[in-house]
Amino acid sequence: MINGLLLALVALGFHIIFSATKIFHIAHGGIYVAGVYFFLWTSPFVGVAFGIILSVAFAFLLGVLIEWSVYKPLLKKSSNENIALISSLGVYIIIINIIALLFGNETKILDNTIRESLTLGEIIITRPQVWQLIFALPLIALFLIFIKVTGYGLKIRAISDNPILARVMGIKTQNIRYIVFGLGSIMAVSAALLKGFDTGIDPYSGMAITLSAAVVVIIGGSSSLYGTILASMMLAIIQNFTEFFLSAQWKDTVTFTILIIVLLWRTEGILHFNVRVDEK
Amino acid sequence: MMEAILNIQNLYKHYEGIVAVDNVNLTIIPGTLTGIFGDNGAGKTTLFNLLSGFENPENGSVFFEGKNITKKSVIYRARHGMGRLFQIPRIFPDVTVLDNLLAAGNNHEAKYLHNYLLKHSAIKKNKIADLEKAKNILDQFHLTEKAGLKAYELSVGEKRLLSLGSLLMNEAKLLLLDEPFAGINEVAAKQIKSILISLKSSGTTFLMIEHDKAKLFELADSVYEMKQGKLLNTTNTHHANH
Amino acid sequence: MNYIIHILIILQIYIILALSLNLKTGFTGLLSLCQAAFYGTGAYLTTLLMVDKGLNFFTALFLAILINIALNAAITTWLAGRLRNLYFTLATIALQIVFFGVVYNWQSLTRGPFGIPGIPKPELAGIVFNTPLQFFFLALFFTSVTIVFFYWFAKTPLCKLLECTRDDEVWLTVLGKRPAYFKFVSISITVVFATVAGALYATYMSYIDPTSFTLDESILILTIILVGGTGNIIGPVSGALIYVLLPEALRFVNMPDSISANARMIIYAMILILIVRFKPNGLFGKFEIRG
Repeated sequence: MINGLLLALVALGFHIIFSATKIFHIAHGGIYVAGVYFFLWTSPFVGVAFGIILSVAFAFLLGVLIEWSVYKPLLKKSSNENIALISSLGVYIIIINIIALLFGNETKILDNTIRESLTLGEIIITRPQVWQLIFALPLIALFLIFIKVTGYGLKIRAISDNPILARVMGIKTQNIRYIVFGLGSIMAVSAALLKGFDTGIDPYSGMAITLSAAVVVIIGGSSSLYGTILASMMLAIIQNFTEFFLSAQWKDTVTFTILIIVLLWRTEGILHFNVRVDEK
Repeated sequence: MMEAILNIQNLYKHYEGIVAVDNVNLTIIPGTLTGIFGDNGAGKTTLFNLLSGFENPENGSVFFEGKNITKKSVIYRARHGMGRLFQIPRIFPDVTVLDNLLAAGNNHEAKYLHNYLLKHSAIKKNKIADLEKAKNILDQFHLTEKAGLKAYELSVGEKRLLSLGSLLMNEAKLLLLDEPFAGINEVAAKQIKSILISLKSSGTTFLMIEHDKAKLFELADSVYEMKQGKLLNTTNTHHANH
Repeated sequence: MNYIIHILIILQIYIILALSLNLKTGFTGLLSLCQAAFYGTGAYLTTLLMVDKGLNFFTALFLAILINIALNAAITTWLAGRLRNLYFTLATIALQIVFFGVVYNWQSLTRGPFGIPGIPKPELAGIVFNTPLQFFFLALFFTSVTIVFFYWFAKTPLCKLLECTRDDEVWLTVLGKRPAYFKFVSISITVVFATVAGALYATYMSYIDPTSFTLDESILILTIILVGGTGNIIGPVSGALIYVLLPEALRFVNMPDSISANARMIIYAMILILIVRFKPNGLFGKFEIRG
């Protein structure tokens, strides 16, 4: 269930990026791991707390950088979603491989001291998991507040609904895009850090959770944030059950079978879609 | 009196409380051009969708050459002689103009991979016939010099002609034209007009939606107005100018 | 010398894979990330038919092609008919991962992560292709057939119809032709050649396991045709060439092996991003990837 919260963090980030920019940002998974490795690199020098702050800032900047250098130039070319996907894939590959080069392929746990666990009835929760619970919930709440209440949040939602209209109404779409990427990246890295303290991180864990996040966004609907959160919890539960009853290896299979079913179910009658485009 | 090529009876379609097509009745004789004008949202495009098979009516029927095609698919209607031109011309952009026409042709054997081995000569014969047909259309539409260009390089008017030509390659007998004179200059409009006239005289039937009333009354044998889903008689003109 | 032959064999396998994906993505416009699933299914089917049923290579290959089409081509065509663009691509990702999961977990059939060792070498009329040089010629035969086929096919009216399916399905329908059929043709041909590549790989390595047929591998094959270019023969071939020769070039500049695997991917991905941005038809390709 706690995994559901972590997944929700990543998924919310992915969600706003996808709904605001229509980009299937696989590189999200790259930022997810990059932030943690940045922490690994800097925390010996600046300590844990400051390291966390720096990593989050790093993730924000990395997200903005990717938008600026890779996605923004593609906007002018009126290319479609698949082009952005391909570029995103390229970015992801670069990030992962740089990390593997610098830090190696093994799983690294961020905090190696064995801490005591908390026992709640029959459920044993380790300390890092307590932290996950303590931090993930407020982060999600803060995120929701930001989107629903603040001016920026309103602009983000405006762009998601109708980017052309938003621009006509004077919203600086490019800046909002930067914010969306930065914010999404912060969410991803927070989840990554929380996970890193618990079960550790390796350069390849980003793809798995990003794809799960994508499944969640598609299931939960690209217009509802609550839907994303709910779907994250549901998917995490399904994944945990699968791991428990079948084996860890079936987890992906089940997740993606669900994706195929949901894709087919939600996009019925898509052939006629094209005709409506040209009608009045 | 010739048998009707298209017979629409009590066609009815509504969406969420709005009646888009309200008990439309219409009979069209071969070799004529019937015009429809009307405000936006009056239901003209829905009518075309119902006729071409993109949507199904709640009530009523459509007969094409005597056959009931009301629930038939787009492909069925296309294969039996109904063609539709879209407002924003549809063509295959990354394929050359000539190839656009050839693809629209009916080289049926060429669609099957095993035929390239088994029915090689039939494919070749069809290829030659289609090439001949395509060349004639290119000549008629004054597109011959542009035959080697990729279709996306054409102007709007030329694309529209290419669309039209493709439908003819597919031996369409009844053509639904959706605002063919929109968005093009006078020269191109004149060209389309003369092509429509000559096609009509060789037997092709047209049903045309158009805002430009002047063109409508020049070309059409009968003109109707579509208002809030209903098809209303305006005048029957027997035009004299060609 | 053996090493060069080894590289050339691997190169040929990737050429076959690239040319097959070229048809599906370049000509028919179906951007797909499940090529490794087709490839892997082909490898496993051929292997199981040879190892478990004792069939010879050529019979096994033939049957594997038929079964692979029935499985993968059918599902993929169905998906292609219902989903457009991005959602189709996502579905192919899902298909790829589900494939991997099934192969990994259905251990009674596929031995799962343990893989299948001891795959026999192909045999024809008494000749067993067990030296690298002999295998090279076997691969060369299949690669040549592949190249000749795609070169010829690109000129047929059928291929043009595939391009039309890519350009505007609705218009194709209005012209009385069924897009789903053309997608099926394209996907089936792709599956045929992916099966060939899989069969070659399996019998060359004598051992296969699921880790050769992952999402990463699909991404790689896609990258090969995007970098090299689509729409002709030289595009995919050059893409495969660059991919296979890059590590050799890195070795030439004395990059240590431990780094070179990662470095190669970084370079490759950078080329990909630059190409998407500046040269959408790839280095030598004819079509622009407009998705």
